[in-house]
Amino acid sequence: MEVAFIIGSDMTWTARNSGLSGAALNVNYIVQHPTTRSLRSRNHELLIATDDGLYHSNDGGRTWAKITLPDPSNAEFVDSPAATVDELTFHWVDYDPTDSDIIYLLGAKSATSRIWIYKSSDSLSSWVSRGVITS
Amino acid sequence: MALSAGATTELDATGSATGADCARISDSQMLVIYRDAAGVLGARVCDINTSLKTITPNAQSSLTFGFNMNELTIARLSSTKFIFASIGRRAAVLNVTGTSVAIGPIFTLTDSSNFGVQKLLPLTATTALLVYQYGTGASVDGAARVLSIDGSDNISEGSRLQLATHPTTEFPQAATTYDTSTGVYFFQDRSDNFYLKGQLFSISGTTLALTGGAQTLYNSNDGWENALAAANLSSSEVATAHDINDAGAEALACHVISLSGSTLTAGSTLELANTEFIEPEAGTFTNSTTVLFTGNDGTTSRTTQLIKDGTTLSHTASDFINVSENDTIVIDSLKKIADDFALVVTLGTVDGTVLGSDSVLPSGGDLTVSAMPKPVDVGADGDFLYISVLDSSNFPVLIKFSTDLDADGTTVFEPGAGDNIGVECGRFNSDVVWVAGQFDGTNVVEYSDDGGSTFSVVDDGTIGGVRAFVMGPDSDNRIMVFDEDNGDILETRDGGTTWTAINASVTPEINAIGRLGENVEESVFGNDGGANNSINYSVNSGDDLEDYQTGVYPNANATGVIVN
Repeated sequence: MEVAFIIGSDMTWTARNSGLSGAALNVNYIVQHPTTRSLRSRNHELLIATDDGLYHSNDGGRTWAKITLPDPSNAEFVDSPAATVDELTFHWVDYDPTDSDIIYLLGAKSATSRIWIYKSSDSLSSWVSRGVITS
Repeated sequence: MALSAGATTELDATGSATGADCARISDSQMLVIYRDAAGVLGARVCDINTSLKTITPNAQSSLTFGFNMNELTIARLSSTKFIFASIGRRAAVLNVTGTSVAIGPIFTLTDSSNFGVQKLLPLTATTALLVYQYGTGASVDGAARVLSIDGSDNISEGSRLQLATHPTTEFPQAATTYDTSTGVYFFQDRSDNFYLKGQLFSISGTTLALTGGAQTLYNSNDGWENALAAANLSSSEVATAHDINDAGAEALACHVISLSGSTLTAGSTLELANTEFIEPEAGTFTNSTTVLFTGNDGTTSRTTQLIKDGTTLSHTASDFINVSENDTIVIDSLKKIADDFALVVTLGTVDGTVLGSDSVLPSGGDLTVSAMPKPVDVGADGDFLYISVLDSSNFPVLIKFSTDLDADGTTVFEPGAGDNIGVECGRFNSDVVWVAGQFDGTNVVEYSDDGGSTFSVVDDGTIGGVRAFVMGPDSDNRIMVFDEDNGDILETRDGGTTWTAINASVTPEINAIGRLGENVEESVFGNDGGANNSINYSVNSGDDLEDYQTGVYPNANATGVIVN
């Protein structure tokens, strides 16, 4: 099990998992907001992609909240049944290098070998997704 | 429409199964029943992914039956209730709850001698049409009854309708329905030039009655016309297949038999030359425009689709597809899952194969995330995502994907072999893309400076498989890699022209690397834990690794690092 840690100023490690439990403690990727990274750690905005979904912290990891995501698009796969967001594991998340209000997220359903990119253009409020296929 | 078969999946491994059938639960689940070599009546709810044509069987429900099950036939009454009958002249209800199957009271059918099930067709939520054979010695006749169930799953049978009798015909023959009130039975009339004939009968509740006499449909003047399979296409059309002798070679003759009033009419004959289908099954495939026939031709178990245009069926030789790796296997069931998809169940061991159209399958949609901790990066201009994944062969590929999410991706890196891949995009030049992992068996780091249009191998040929790497942060030409085969930390500062081994044979397996922007030499390594450190810190790019464990959970597996 991988667990999120944030380093403390006294050069020791402290677990900051408040708000994370179960599969959310399986953290696959962590990223910090490109602007708040220059601030004191208490003000860091962080995102983690986990086996349980996308989680957000705006206090340097002291508390975490799950971001609500819609079910992934099925237009590309026409799977029956269509995948639901609860079936996905999330492996990566990052901010757009030109606009930190834009966030990208990779979700996967291993049982059907499907991958989706989610995108939010309004700082995590709303999301669209597209299945990854090649033409 | 192209037809293809998914991988054959073993549903029961006991071997020498002597009966099997399947029925649709939903668009994504099928119920398969079988009598295995140990004499057990097994039932499995199988999860079906039609897009991938895969079958995932759930645990077997072993049902107490105790009678001859060499022929098993099942009909769907609802998504949770099914009825089956066997050659042992027994019938019972099967109830599906989740992935479990339970059997109801066992009913004994009246007609006993030489009983054989030909078809069990669903009529309503509580009734099914049983077409069967029975008789004494060589005198075996065709017959039909309606089986009905009550609220306790007790079965009762309606009165018997006598169909073609011996010696007029030879069994088995074929039956289906036009709708829930009209059945049809096809047989070879040995008393009348071996014509293929059809006999309509009405269905009202549990009462069956012949509608007029038998109607002549076809004669190839070869003395065969054994009706073998029939499938409903619509309320006015069914499809049939029957065995003929074409100049000494067996062939399958196929027709659309249309119904107008009480008159049956055969469409044009489609002959699948030199194709003997032993005990074929037939099924509607795509909203009455396509019908499937499947069987073993004596050499190979295979299926073909016939395209229907009016009452004309057409076929091309390339439409034959094999559905089993074992040539001796007999196909025992063909049932529709959903439009464009069907399940074939074969005997020997009990195996299932999903047949389906390729037209709805996405190209390149069979992808999984590789072990590299960073599977995606965004180009510096924010226009493209570069997604590093494994394809259906588990080979690494890199897909360029518009950040507008308005188009399918383009595969820009495809080494054709390998087992791991990660990606880093340039921070200063949006056309710079690095990939690292294990490619072609030898290459591990490749570089593009044209947005992925071309890649060049830039490792020095001595670096083993890359488990983790990080670019910059001060230059797009600097990357540090961890070679997991040799335990080496290496760095290039000139875009891969020269490499420096910073540390050799380190014991931790490094998962992720973080480097400070202010002082690039200052680095943090996230490791796999276990007997080694979970975190190492270095002030000289990994030359000296400092244990940085205080407060870390024992043996923690650090999969990501961010530095500030």
